[in-house]
Amino acid sequence: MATLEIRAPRQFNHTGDLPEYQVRNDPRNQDFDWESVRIDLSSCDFVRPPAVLWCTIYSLLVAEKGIPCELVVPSRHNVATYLNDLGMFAVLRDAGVGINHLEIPNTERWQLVLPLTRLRSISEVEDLENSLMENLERRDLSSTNLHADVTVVFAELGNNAVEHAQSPIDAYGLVQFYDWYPHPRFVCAVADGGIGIRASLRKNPEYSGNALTDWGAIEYSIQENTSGTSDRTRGMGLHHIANDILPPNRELNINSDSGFLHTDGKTLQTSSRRGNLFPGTSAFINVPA
Amino acid sequence: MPTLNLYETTKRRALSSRDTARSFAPRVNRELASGNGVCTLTIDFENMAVVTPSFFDELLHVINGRAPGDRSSAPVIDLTNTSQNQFARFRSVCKAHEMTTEKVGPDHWRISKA
Repeated sequence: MATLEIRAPRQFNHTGDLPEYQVRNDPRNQDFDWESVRIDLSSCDFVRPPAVLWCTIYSLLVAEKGIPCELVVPSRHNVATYLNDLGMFAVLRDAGVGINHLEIPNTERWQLVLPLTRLRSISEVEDLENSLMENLERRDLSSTNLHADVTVVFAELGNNAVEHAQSPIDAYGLVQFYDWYPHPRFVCAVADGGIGIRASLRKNPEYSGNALTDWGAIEYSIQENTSGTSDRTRGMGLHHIANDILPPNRELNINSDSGFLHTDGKTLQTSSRRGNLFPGTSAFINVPA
Repeated sequence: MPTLNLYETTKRRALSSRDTARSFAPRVNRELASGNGVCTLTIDFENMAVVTPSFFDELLHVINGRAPGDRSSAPVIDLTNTSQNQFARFRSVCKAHEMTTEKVGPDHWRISKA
C-alpha cells in the first residue's frame, strides 16, 4: 500500500470537515496496512480543539502500529505557534511522529488553562483537576461557579476515558480560555483512541442485544444511569454534563467512531447522526464565561 | 456526631474518582462505629470546590454498602457546607440510590433511604 494522505481544509473544526474517503481508514483495525500516513495541515487558517484532538489521536494510533506518520504544520505562522503552544507538536514528536517544521518558540499568547495533556490513570486525572481548579482561581478568568463547572466537565470526561475507553495510547485533554469580545468562553476537550461508546455500552448485558448504531449509543450514553457496567447507579457523568451543566448557551459535541452528537445549550436540542470516523471517542464542551 | 470532613481527610479541593471514594471506607466504618448507635453521618464539604457525581455515587455505595439489603442500618447522611450549586450535582445520584433529599438549613442537606 502507498501513503495515506489526509489534507485538512482551511477551517478545520473537527473530523467532519475532512474528506470521508480519507478518514474512514481506521488505524485501530488490523487491516490498516498503509505504508505511511501524512496529515497535511498546511492550508489551515485555524484548527479548533476537536480537530487538534483528532490529529493527535489519529497520529498516535498510526505511530503506535509502527507505521511512519508525518504531520505537515500550518503555513500560517500564528496557527503553527498556537498548535506548538498547545503542546501538540511535542506530544507527537515524543511518540515518533515526524513534524516538518523548524523550531517554533513558545509565545504564551494563548490563554491555555491546561495544555494538551496525556491522561494515563484515574489518579492522574484527579491530580490534574486539582491543578486546573487552582489555575482557574489564580487567574480569575470567570466566576467561581464556572470554575467548578469546567473542572467537573474535565474530571468526568477524563475519568470516563481512562476507565472505559481501553485506549492503547491513553487519553488526552485540554482546557482553553478564549478571550473573545463580547463572548469570552472556555473550551474543554478530551479524546481517546479506544473502543468507542457503542462497544463500551455493549459490555452491559442490557445493551448487548440491541442493534445499536454508533450515534444511537452516544444518545444512550447521555441518558441517566446508562453505563457499560451493570451498576444501576452509574452512568451519571455524561448525563450530568449534558443536562445539568450544559444550559444555558453551552455546546456539547461527542464523536465516537462513526457517531456524532451535538447538543445546543440554547435550544436544549440534541441531534445525533452518522458522521465521519473518529478512531475512539472525542468530547468537546464550549462554555461562555 | 460521626463526621467526615472531605478536605481535612484528603487535602484536595476537587474530588472525582471512585478509587478515592472507596479509600474512605475504613474512615466511614470508624466514624459510624464511634457513634454509639447514632446512625447519622455528617459529610462536611467545607473548603471543597468540586465533588463530582461519580465520586459522590461511590461514597454513597461505601456508606450504604456497610449492610447490604438492610435498609434499617443505612445511616441518615447530613451534607454540610454544601452550596445549592454543588448539591444540584447530587440530586440524580440520590434518586438512583433511592434516597430522599431535604434541605434542613443554609448549605445543609439531609439524605436518607426512602
